[in-house]
Parts: sequence; C-alpha cells; structure tokens
Amino acid sequence: MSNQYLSTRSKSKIIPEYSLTGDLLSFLRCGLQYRYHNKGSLPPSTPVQLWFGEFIHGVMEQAYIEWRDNDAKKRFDWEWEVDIRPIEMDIHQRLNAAGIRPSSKLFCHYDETETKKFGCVDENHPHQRISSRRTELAINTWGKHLFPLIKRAEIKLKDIQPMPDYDGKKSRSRYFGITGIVDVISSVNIRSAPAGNLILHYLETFNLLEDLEDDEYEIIIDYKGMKRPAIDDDTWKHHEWQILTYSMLRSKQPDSKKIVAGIIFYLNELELSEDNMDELKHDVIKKSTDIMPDKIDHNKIIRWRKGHRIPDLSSTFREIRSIRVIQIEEEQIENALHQFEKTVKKIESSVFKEIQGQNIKEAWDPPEYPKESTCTVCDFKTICPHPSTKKYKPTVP
Amino acid sequence: MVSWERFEQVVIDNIVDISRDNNEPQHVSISAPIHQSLYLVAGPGSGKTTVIVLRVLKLIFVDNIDPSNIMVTTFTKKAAAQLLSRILTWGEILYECFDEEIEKPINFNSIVIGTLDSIIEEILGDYRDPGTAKPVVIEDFVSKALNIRVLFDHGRHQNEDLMDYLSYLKGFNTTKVPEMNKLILEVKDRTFHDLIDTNRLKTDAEADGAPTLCDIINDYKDKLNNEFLYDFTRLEYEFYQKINSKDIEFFEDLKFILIDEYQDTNYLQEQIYFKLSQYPINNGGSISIVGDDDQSLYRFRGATVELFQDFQERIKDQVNVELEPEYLVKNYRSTENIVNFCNSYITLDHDYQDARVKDKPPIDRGRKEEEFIDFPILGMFRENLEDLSNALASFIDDIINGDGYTFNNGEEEYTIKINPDGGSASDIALLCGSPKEIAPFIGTKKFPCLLKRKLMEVDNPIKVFNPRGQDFQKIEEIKILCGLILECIDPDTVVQEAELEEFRNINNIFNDWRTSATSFIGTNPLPHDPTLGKFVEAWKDRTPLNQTSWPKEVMLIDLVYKLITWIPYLQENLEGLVFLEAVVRAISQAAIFSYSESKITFDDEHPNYETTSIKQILKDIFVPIALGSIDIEESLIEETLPPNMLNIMSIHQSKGLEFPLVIVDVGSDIRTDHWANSHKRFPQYKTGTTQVIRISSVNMEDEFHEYSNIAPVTRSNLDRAFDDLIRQYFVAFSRAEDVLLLVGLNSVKEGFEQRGRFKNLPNISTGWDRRKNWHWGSGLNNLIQI
Repeated sequence: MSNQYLSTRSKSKIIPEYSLTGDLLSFLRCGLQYRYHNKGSLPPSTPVQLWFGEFIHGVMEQAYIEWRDNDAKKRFDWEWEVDIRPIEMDIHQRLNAAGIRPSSKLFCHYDETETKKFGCVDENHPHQRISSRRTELAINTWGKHLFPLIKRAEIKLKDIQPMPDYDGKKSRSRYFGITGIVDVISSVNIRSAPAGNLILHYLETFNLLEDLEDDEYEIIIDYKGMKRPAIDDDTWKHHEWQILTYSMLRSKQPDSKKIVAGIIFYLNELELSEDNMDELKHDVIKKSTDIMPDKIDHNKIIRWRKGHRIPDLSSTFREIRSIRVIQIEEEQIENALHQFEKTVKKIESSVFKEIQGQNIKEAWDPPEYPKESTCTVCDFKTICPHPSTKKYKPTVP
Repeated sequence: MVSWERFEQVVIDNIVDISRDNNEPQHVSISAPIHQSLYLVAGPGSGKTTVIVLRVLKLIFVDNIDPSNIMVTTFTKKAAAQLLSRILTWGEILYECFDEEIEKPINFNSIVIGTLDSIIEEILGDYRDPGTAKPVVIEDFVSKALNIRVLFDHGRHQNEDLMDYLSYLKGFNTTKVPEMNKLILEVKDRTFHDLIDTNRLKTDAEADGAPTLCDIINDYKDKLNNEFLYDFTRLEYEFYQKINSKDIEFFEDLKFILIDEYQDTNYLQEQIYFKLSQYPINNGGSISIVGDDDQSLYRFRGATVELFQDFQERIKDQVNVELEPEYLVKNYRSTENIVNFCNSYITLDHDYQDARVKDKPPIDRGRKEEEFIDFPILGMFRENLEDLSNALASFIDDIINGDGYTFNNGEEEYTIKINPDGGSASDIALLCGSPKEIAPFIGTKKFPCLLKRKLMEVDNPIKVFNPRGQDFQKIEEIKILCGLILECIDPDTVVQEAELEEFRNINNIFNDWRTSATSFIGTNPLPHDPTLGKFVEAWKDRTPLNQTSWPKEVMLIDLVYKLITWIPYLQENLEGLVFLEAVVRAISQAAIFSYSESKITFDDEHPNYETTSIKQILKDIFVPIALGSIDIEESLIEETLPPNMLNIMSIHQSKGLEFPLVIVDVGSDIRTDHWANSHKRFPQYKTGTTQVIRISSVNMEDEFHEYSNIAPVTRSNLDRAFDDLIRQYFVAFSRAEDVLLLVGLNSVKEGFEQRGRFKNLPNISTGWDRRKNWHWGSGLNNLIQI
C-alpha cells in the first residue's frame, strides 16, 4: 500500500514591491484607504491632492525636457498660454487615462474651440485655474534656477531589502522591493551656475556646500503638490524619511556620487488654496511651522477669514516656504529605513490576514487616531469601521 | 568578474545542480558564450525559468555584462515579476559569494524585463520625439466600448453582408452585437499582427461584407488616432515603424535579448524582435528564444506557432544568425506516469508529428523517485452531469476533508489525500475548455456550476475560485449596483427610453438591473441612517440629503462609492472588491473618450447638460457593460487568493501553472457526435464547405494571408485546427504534478446510442487521432476508472 500526501502547491515567488510615496506614505495615512485606493486600484472620486501631485511632477518633468532640448525655451519667464498650457494638456491626458481627474475648479481642460461652459465660469476656455497658476509660478520661480543644475531627471530608483521578521511559512518573500523616482542635480552643474542662482543661495544658507568644494556630489530633488506640513504633523517627518531613503537607493546606483542633501519643493505654497490658507493660519497661530511670516504677512494671515479672498503674501515668504532642504546623514538614513521597514511589516501582516481569508475591513485597519482631514476627503468614510470623530452618513448627491 | 568554473561551482553549492552530468542541455544553455544565440525548446516543467535566470546571471558575473544591457521579455506581467524576483533573489546569493571578486556594485534591477508591450510603452514614452506626448494606452473595456460605437454608426450592426462575412470567418452564426464586436476586434488585431493591407482587403476580397468590416476597423483606428489613444496592437505597430525608421538610443548598448514563450509570438512581434536582435549581434552579443511548440495556445490572438517551429531558418534568412535547437527535456514537475502519459499523448496522432519541431525528443522525468508516489492516470466517467458532479464532489471531499480517496490498481492500493501540513483546496484545479457556469443563449447549468454547488453542499463546504465563471453583467451584486445607479441618475427610465428605444435587448437588460435594485431596496439593507430607499428617492428628486446644496457636477464614481455603503459584499469580500474595481475602472476609463467625462453636469442656465451627460453615461458605460465588455482579470485577485479555494479555469488560463492534482474535463457536455460541438473535440468542415467550423483564428489565417507579407501556412485549415486541439490538451495534462484525473460523460468513454445504433464519439482529448483511430480504445482502459 502506498499512502503519501499530495504535494503542496508552490507559492508565488514574487518579491512585493513598494513605492515610497504610492505605498508606504499612503499606508501610513490610512491602511484601509491604502487597500482600496492603492492596492485595489480604485481611483479616488475627487483626487485633489493625488491629481495635483502627479500633475505637477509631470509638468515639471516635461518642462525640463523642453528646456533641455529646445533653445527657444531657455529664456524665462515662460508664458502660460504659449509655453506651459500645451504641456499641461499632455499631462492631463495621461492622468485622465490613468483615471486621475481634476475637478473644473482645479483645472480647465477645455480648449478655445469648446463652446460650452461646463464647470467653468464662462465659455472662454482655457481658464487659468489654481493648478495652472501654480505651474506657471513653479516654472518661473524654481524651474529657471533648477533646470540648469539638473544632471538627470526622472531617475528610477529600485532596490531590495530583507523582509523584516522573515518567516518561511508566513512571509511572501525573503525580500521586499522599494522604489521611487527622483531628479538629481550635480556638483558640476552647481559650480558652473551663475551667481544669483536661487537654489545655490538656499544651499549656502544651510551651509551645506562649505566642506564639499573638491568633491563630486549630488543633491536629490522631489516635488510635492501640497502645502508645507507643520512640524508636528507626521507628514513632516515622513517626507524626511522619504528623502533619506531615496538617497540610500540612489547611492546604490553605479553612476551615483555622494548624496549630500535633498530638496523638496512644496509647490502649493506658491499659490495657496482656501484649505491651505486655513491650515497655514492654524500653523502660524500655533507656531507649529518652521517658516514663520514677518509682521506684515503675519497680520494678513491672522486677519484672513474662510470665504474671503486669499491675501497677497510676500513673494519671499511664499518662496522660502516652498523649499525645504534636508541634510543627508548616515544615522538618519538608517532610522528612516527602519521606519519604512516597520510599515512594510504592517502591510505584509495585513496581506497575510487577507490571504488567510479575513474580511478586507478587518485585515486592513484604519489608523487608531485618524486625522480628520484624511477622513473628510475619503471615499470610504461611510463604510469605515472607525473614522475620525464621527460616523459619516452618505450624502446626496 | 568570475570564471565559469567558479560560477558553476557556487551555483551548484548554493542554488541548484547545473552540472553537465545532471542535465547537459541545461548546462550548455547556461554556460554558452555571450555571442552564441540560443534556440531553446523547453518542454513542460523543464525548469526553463532556472535556465533563463542563470543564463542572465552568468552573463553578468562571468561575462561582465552590465545588467542594463540585458533585455528579457515574457508573456505576462506576472511571469516577468516572477522572473525578476528570482534574478534578484539568486543574484543576491551569488553577489554575497562573489563579493570580493567583483569590482563594482551590480544593479540587477536595471535589467530591462517585462512583456514586450510594457517595454514598448516605456520606450515610446521615454524616447518620444520632442514636443510629442507619451502614449496613452487604453484597456480592453475602452477598446470594446469604442468599437461598439463605431459598429452602431450608420446602423452597421444590422448590415447583413457584414453579418454574413463575420459568420463566415467565425464558422458560426455571428449576428449578435457582443459577438460581432468581439470578432471585429479580433480581425482588427490581426490586421496589425499580420501587417495586413486593409485597403487591399477592402477592394479585393470577394465577400460583400469585407468593405464594411474594413470601414469599421479603419474608423476604429481613426478614433484612436483622433483621441491620441493606443491599444496594445497599435502600440506594437507604432514601435515597429519607429525602429524601422531610426535607431533608438535605448538599444545602442544592448548585448543580450531573451524572449520567453516564443511559440505564442505573432508576425509583427517577430519582425520587431528580428530588428532589435541586430543591436546585440552588432555589439558582440546574442539573441535567445525559449518556447515549446507543443504548448502554443494563442492562435486566436494572432500567435503563429510556425514562427517558432521554423525559427532556425527564419533567423538565418532574415538576421543571418546560425544556431541549433537545444532541447530541455527533463521534467521536474510530474511523476513518471504523467510524463509517460504526456509523451504517449503527444505522439499518438501521426499527422501531428509534422507540425512539431523536427527531431524533438520525448520529455524525460527529472523529479527524484523518492519524492513522489507514482499514481496511475485516473478516469471518472458517469452517465449524466448530475452523477458526474456528485461523484467528483465526493472524491474531492474525501481528499480534502476526509481520510483521503483510496483506490486499487491491480494489487496496489493508493490513497490520495491533501497534505495536512500546508495543503489546501488550492492544490486542486479543474481545467475545462471554458469555465463558464451557464451555457450562453440556452442558459443551462454547466459542469463548473454544478460542481461548485455540490462542493458547497458537503458537510465542510469547499469554496471554488472561478472569476471567469459568470458573465460579469449577470452577477447579482453587479446587477444591483448597476440598477441602483440607473435608478438614481435616470429616474423613471426617461433618458433610457428616449435614447435606447430601438435596442430592445439592452433595454431589457437595463430593466432587469433596475428590478434587481428595486428588490434589493425592498429588503431595507443596513445601515438605516439614511435608508437606501431614502437615498435613492433623494437622488430621483434631485433633493440634497445630509448636505445643503446640489453641486454643479457629480462624479459617477462618487455615487458608486456611496451606494456600496449598503452592499457589504463589494466592500469586504475579495472577489466582490474585484468586481467593484471592474465597474469603477470601466467608468474611469470611459471618461477618456466619453463626452460626459463620466460625470453628470447640472446647470440651471443649461438644463440640457444634465440630460446630455446622462445619455452619454448610458451609451458609453452601461451599454458596453450590458453587452459583456467587462472581463475579469484574474491577476487582480490572485495575489491574495485565499488558500482554501479550489480552482476552476480554462486550459488557456492554466498556461504556466502547475497543480498537485489536475482534473481535466474531456467531455462533460458531449453526448453525441454533433457538428455543433465538433470544434471542442474533433474539428470538421461544415457540410458543403472547406471552412473549419467555429475556429475563427484558422479561418482568418486563410482568409487574410494574401493581404499580408506573412508566408502562407502550409498545413490545411483542418489540420491546424486538429494541431491546436492536441496542443490544448497536452498543456492541460502536463499541468499535473502528482495526480491527473480525466472526467467526462460515459458517452465519450464508450460511445452513445442514437436511433437504435451504437456510435463512438471521436474526441482528440480521449486518445483519437484525426484519421479516426481510437488509440486508447472504447472504455478508456488505459486509465484507472474510479
């Protein structure tokens, strides 16, 4: 007699891959939302921040390529309708195909041939809505200083790390992959930059270039379609971890040089929305932001009320709030990696629960103390087992 | 840089035995010098992934090739991810072993790896001409929805010449819009794949329907052009034109190209690969292809297996590369009995042998003897479907929940039992020609449906995973969701009736959805604040609820997310969530081409905006859904597939997979020797024609080859249909690791009675050859009957 069990089906051998922004930062915001939107590819119904983040990245990349490849584009300032609008429409179409769409308040995507009003103020398309005002400011404020320094744009970063607490029976893989995309500026270009380059000015302000004159080095760049976070907001430190981790990923690429700093541009600061203004006022009152206004701007901010026109804050204040320089140090990199490993561990544990057949809402917990702003804009707040402050009811429409 | 000898030893010590003594063809394939191109004929379970991965790692460590100069293409994204994962894992192991012998860090992630389409999409995006946009690639739903529009234009869906021509190509009556639409898209793909001159086809083809068909295809292509959109075939064609007109910087340093699953390559892809292979060859490198003609399954998607069979001559003629085939024949997957069964099966049809790669050796067991019990091949045949489903459910129940299933072969007793340590229902797969649970048109329940039901009736119910089992638009939760949306946006069917009056079928489907929704509202599902009824009423009345005003635009997706508040299955269940994703993606993708942008516009100054947007939403989203334009992609679900579900899938879906216990349906719905089921078992010409019944791919090859540069196929259409059926069941049988069970009705095992006469039932999957010799014989005594 023969009696032996059947073999067991071999497990899939795929290394799970995590994008720093698309996966890890999203999961840190809310596990359940991450499951639906990111892992499950359900697009947000009104993806204000997601859309603008992707949009501004795309516009800045394309603008850089046009600046690089076309002599006529070397002069600044760029005109919105002539130089920037065609780029915006390309990027819009790409995002549209990916299911990420703006509201008409955020962006007008009709051209002059469209005779209907739709969500716009009138039929005179295209309108320069807030996103388009920001792209113009971003290119004319930062693009003209940044583009000449760029060594390579859109570098794809990718590496694998050992799976935290690897368990042969439970873990999907011995490793997990970690990915990101950055632009890199080089010391060579920095040295040849003309005096008055604004990026150089801020790097010098932070004394970052003092001891590095003879070495070759790199600085990594990222854009955020958001306001500068308050320093007591988790997002503030998450962005720092992100840049530190990017620097580790970049340093493993054969053509990289020593990475000394990272720069994040918070491009909403160049033109604040009403919600951004509200948050800024809150940060200023609480003194929870690292860049405080001078007296004149301070008064404008404090006096502003919701529903009123956004005050004209000084260009220096807007400029300095839109750039954040992060110094790269070995110890901090390790900490950042460790923090993301913890996140991967949590995600993998949810995946495991789901594989075991647990209900999705039980396998993917929302955070214990979710931020109200995260819940307010969430598409799944009416089905969430424990949203922030209250139980949300479905609204019509 | 390390020597080959050192590399080989470290691989043997740490990963797998690649010595010449263990497996010579494997050894030769991995160790071949960089400039030597390879033509690898890899039988089922022959460890080709191991060969591909170690060949790539050998090039990196021994030949010092930069990973970014290596390109590997596979058939699916999942296969690419698996391959890359293996390269990274083994690459890390080797990197640690060779740490001191290597001068620089190695970035394995810079290997260019993916499906040909994904690589092309990236290259066309990254290396586009200045001032041009990245290609926007559409999904299947948009392609179908766009083509439905084009088909409806000028009432062409009612054009009888077109119907006749499509029916001729299909070999079967094709007069319903969903079937017409699907077939037209198949022809459209073929015009790209085979580089067909549609202008010549339009003017020269004899069929009266050809001009209309060509017009529809050209209109569809124009629509893509006008919207700056690409489907995957257009993407390949664009790339083909680009590489033929100029050099692309991306490939300048390329040293090695490897193409997996080459047997399913089409002519356009072959021409792309031949063009690209010139880069590595000029750089002192090479091209390698891996495949198995016996496992070619995708003629219906344009694959031309002859390109693989004749690869040696074709690459010599077109690229001037000389090579010899290398046969990977050691099978590490299956037991001796299964290997022998597959060898015997693939050689029993004499006429098939001419369609195989020349001098192909049989596959050979590579699995170690002590690692398996050599179960005999089993057969289970019953008088009717009910009995068969009962017997199979009981067999599976014994294996999973009971003490195992015991049977005798001579004096030998065997017991089949799932492994208590980590084994589960997912170790079992039922492979069928089609996994559909309900027969189209006639609506009868098919084997997958009955088996699923019986498995749920056992004491410890066994769940089944069959995402393609039901037509999407007929799934109850989808009907409820779609019905609720229609009730909200188009109360009292006002727009529906005005716009779709002439489409009675579609109206019926919409009304059926609405009925499902109304019944569901009647159950007053939780939560109750507000109730679903109140929510829908507020929408119908356009009265804000829980907010103060009615905005100027409402995203349709927003309404969907709110409606699922009352449908827990779509929020909590993995399968339900995949269904929800499919609906949302359809809505989202429709916004690419739909004037409505998948939102409803409300404007007091322009009340017609609302009606127009609803009209567009119905036409661009819900009509295509009703006409079956959504197919579930199982890739969405399989990553977290629960371990306790038994798999039911088509043989095509099982490509590249393996299961400890494989059940192959060789005739659960074949009772008589009728021409209508002949395409599934024994292809025949339709009476009075030389057209192969219901096998459109074969019919199309013959119809279109004279308008293409592709050389005419030398085998007859009937022979090709037989060849494909043999391949299909060879793939099915060779998926099994431990146990292979063939199931069907008694009629396929021992014949049937018709009008008092007893007849046999010719069937390729039960050991017949095309000359009607029954090699396995009546009673199928080569199988142990259970």
